[in-house]
Amino acid sequence: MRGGTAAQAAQADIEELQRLMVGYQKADREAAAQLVERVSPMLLRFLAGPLQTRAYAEDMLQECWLRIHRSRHTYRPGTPVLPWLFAIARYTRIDAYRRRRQIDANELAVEDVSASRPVEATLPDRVDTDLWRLVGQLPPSQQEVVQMLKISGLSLEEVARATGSTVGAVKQKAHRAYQKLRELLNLDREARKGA
Amino acid sequence: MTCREVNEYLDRSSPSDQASLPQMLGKHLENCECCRGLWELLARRPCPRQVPQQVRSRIEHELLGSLEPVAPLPKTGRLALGFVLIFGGLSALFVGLLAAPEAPGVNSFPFFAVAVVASAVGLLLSLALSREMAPGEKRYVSPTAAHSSALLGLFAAVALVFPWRIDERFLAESWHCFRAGFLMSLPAAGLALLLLRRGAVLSPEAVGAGTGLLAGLVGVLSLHFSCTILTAPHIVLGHVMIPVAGVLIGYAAGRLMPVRWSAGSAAGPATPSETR
Repeated sequence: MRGGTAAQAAQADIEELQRLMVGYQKADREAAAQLVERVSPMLLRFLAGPLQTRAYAEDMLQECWLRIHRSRHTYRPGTPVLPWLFAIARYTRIDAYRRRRQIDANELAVEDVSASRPVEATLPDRVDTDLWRLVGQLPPSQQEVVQMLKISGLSLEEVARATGSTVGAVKQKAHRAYQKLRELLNLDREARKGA
Repeated sequence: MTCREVNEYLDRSSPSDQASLPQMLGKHLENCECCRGLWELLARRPCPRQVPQQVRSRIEHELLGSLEPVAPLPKTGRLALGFVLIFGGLSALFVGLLAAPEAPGVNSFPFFAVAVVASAVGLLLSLALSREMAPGEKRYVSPTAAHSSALLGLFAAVALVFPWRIDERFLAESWHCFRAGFLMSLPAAGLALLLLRRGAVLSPEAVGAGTGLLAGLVGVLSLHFSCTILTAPHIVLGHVMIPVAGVLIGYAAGRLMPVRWSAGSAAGPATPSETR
């Protein structure tokens, strides 16, 4: 469990974000700049996920901020900021994936490339940790929940709001993801032993 | 402690935030290799990625360049009231214009049962649509579940309370009602879309289906007060199929919509390359 001080700090963080968001709605330039500075690293980490290149993730981050800017009036003062931001970021990522898939499919059709480029070549600067590698093997919906819950540090309630689902559904996805991660870790261990 | 309880524990806290573990959990992690591996994996939360100064400046330039005060979206209740007014107002208008007081069974239980179910679905749907207008709103039920149970409820109400009897002109009469009800639902769809444009629609498919359902219910209620054929097959095919068609058309329209954003710009967001 989080200690009292940690909980207080988290609460202060939430209130600060709400204050900045309200300032942003009122066209306070200082608040807008601070919000960009505070939230961008978190959004970039989420948008990058386990598979994207840094340059591509940065493109998505800019698009995400444009969408945030255009829909800033839909934030309701007093409500949590992170689920609102992550809901927009989530759809930015979904749209970017779709667009990229279409582009890739067209390129392959035009060039008639029999074997596509190796994945590594498109991901030169990804953070290649065990965590990303294993999370990358989960189904997309579980990947998303684990990313928000365990990597971005959102609560169950916040993830449910951001993904437009219920707390029960998020819990179910998270538990399935934990189980799958345990299995993947076991396979890893066995492979290491075999080697 | 079991592995399942470790999952429950992970729901409430992150390994990376733990200074000290509760005794039971520590003991379980000592004995269970799987949970220990998972715990250690999740404790390695990667640091937030640093955003290059150049990217941040570009974002700030874009945002601050067009920064103007905006009024926050009205509360969910007020938006829901808007949808209720569209639904109720148009239904009342069509009922007033077309109602047939001499219609058989207008004061009967079956008649009221279906009217109550359709109205209740319309009210709940108004609330659901108003929640779709702001990202990150709390949801109690998924749109798919909500739309399917609404339609099933309507089917069940009709199937249970009206007699199953097929007349000679069943198909022709049903088609006539369907066409009239569908036309009556179009203004409701148009007005609901105008209201939806005030928000940010993240899931056009769900919003399209919901709007189609709400608009279709206007057709159902209007026909319910004006149609004199009170048999289950006719009502299912000629009346209840209107919201079904509304859901399908709305879903397809949402899916084909090239842009997720109704807020701010009809053209949708510019791509990052356009902003450079």
